[in-house]
Amino acid sequence: MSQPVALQANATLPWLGGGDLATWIIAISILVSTILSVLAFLGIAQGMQMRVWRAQIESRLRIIEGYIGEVRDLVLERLRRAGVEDADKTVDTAMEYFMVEPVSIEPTDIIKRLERILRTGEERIESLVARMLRGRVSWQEERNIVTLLTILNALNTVYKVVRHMLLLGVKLKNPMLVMQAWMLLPLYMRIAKAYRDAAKVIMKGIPIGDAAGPLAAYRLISSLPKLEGPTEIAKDTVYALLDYEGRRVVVVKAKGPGSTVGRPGEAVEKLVEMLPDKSKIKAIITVDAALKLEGEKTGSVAEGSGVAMGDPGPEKIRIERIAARLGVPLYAVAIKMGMEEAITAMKREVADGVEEAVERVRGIIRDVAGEGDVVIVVGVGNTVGVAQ
Amino acid sequence: MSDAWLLIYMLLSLSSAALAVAVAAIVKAMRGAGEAGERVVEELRCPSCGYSMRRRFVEGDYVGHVVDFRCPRCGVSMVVSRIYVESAEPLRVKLFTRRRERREKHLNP
Ligand SMILES: [Zn+2]
Repeated sequence: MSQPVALQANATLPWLGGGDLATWIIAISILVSTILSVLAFLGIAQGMQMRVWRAQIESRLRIIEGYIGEVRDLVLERLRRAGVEDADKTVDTAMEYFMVEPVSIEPTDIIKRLERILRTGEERIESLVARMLRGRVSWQEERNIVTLLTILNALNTVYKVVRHMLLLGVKLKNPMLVMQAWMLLPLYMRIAKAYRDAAKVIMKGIPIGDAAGPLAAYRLISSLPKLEGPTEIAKDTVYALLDYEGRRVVVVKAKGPGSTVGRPGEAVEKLVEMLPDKSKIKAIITVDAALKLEGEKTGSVAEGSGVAMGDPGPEKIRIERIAARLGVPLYAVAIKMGMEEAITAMKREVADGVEEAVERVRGIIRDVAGEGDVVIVVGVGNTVGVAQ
Repeated sequence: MSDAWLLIYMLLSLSSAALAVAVAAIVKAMRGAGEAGERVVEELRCPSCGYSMRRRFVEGDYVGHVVDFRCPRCGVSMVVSRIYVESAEPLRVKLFTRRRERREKHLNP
């Protein structure tokens, strides 16, 4: 019995009898990796990956669901303390409330139509809350509850969008949709957590980052001699007439300390109409919180031109149109912050940025206006926790 | 290769994988701890003499609110001038994260 030399050297191979543990392990691992690669070609590995993504998305969805529950309880608890027992139906209405975009292929008067839609939505939620509370809480708390309902609506939307992407992907067996939802999860989780934190802060009446503009307006009002006001001029919006070394400074801000952005555009429009000598207006300065780019410093202040305002358009365009009609320069001062910082409790850096922004505004007023001239300053943003 | 060596090699690779997972978990927990611990403070200012002081935020207060607290210098009721949050990181976490902060300074100025 003489075998070839090569086979004699392989005498340890299991199928030729004999063989030790090491050989078995190597053989099995080759077999396993072969099976796995065949599975990968058949798309089964992808199915397994999809299952992992799905499990992770579902666990995050449960967290967002928890946030919704927390905010909802916060609202219901506050309403119960005010003596409202059957608030569930109203809260559900506010949570599912939607707005339909105006027709945009025919742009004539689109801004007016958009304004109508936005105001209808705002007034509807406000009247729902007002009817429920019947004046049992202060005006500012009523505004805070309205904002909380808006936050609840936004959280609910985030939840529904992620759930939709997941369920659609699973239903159509489309790993791309599931993967898309999975990849966007960190961003959605950031947004959801920020909304949850915002609700807690607003409930307590603590100023949020977005209150930087109104806070700058407050600092101006409290530091300069007052000639007039503060008086309400448009819904939830006040103005004060101040004297700054002989110049007349008109400061506009939302009416605090309730959570509202007011109607700064409408207020400026009315104020300009009221002024007898419009040629005296030397500048309209808007101060607002602005979203920083990643890497920029929180609370840093920048100057620019235009109307610094984050509204969908109707308020901003009113100021732009007045400025264009009268030939008044538009100056903007921005206080930079991140998305989360804008809707959660104001950071020390932002509060310091507000001081600098006020200094910049004073600088612009000194530069552009002489004695007897008029400058309009608008502190744009949600004025929660900031009075006038 | 003998059986014993192969087994030792496999055990080592398994345990190093387990160690890596454990270290990652600890580092993650430590980073998370640094984000906690914020307190809300308010600054009070005397409208007549400008004296200012800080205290913990009291619910119901807002900027511009005249509080029930008199200026220690002239006895006028003080006004809330600013409300903001300050991070109050525990020292232990700082020791562990300072090096990372220095390294990532250009990312978080
Ligand atoms: Zn004093």
